[in-house]
Amino acid sequence: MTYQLTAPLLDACVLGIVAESDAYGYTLTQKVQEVVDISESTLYPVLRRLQKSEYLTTYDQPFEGRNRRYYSITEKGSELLGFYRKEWIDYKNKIDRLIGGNVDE
Amino acid sequence: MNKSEFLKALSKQLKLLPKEDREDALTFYTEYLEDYGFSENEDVTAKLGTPKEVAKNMIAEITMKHIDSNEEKKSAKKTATIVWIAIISIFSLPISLPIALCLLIVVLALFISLLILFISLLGAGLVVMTAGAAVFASGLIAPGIGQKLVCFGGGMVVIAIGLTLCFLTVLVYILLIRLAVRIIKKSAEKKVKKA
Repeated sequence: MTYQLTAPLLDACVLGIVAESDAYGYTLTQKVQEVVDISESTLYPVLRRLQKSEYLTTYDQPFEGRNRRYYSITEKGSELLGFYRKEWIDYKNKIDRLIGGNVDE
Repeated sequence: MNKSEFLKALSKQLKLLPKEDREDALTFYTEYLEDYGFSENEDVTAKLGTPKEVAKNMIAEITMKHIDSNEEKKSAKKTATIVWIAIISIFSLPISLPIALCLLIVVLALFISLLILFISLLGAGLVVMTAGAAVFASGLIAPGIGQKLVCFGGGMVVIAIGLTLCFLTVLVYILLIRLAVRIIKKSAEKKVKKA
């Protein structure tokens, strides 16, 4: 991968996935890894941090005799995601203008 | 390293994290291993990395957050956090707990002895000053002018020696504390960077 993901952008990706639908650790990791080259050991602390800051909340659901811990987005998390989206579009457009990609204007 | 070995080793690596953090991490990895579909005797470290690497990432994330959130607070608090990180780092080194404990006790003992030495040196300085004052005072009742002069002069010299002892003690200790803080800060920063 040429471009590196910064911490807020990774947070935004995780929040975006969970905003779509609640997800458990494995699927969440898979979805991020489809796009970004990132290890579980990097992703898990992000989830934990978002959970501790109350952007995400978790609940357990039984599955084949064990539990799966689902992550879902909180109201506070949705607000943050909204902010991140706005920031990202703004940033993306500016970069596009610089490198001559598809300009949104 | 198979699933259960990995989890056991990870649990050991995370021993010093708060219980809640450790349990959440173990839940995540237990579930992940199941969902990924590793067979019972498959090596999981190829995909996940070693438990030590996983733990290092986790501790780095937690400690980085501490440093960030303390950035604007008083430096004393920051130093305390860094000292705490240094302690955690010592414990997360691949040495056994007894040795880590011994190290901690040695450091503590050194600290206490230095403190006692400080108090005794300061006390000694004060006693010498008192003695000087007594010699000086005895000059008042000394019989001849010669004896009076000797007592006044000698008394002042002794007071000066006591005062110097006190000053030097305080000075040396201030320097020592600064040095210690700098060393701890540096090694903690290195540790965080490395992680």
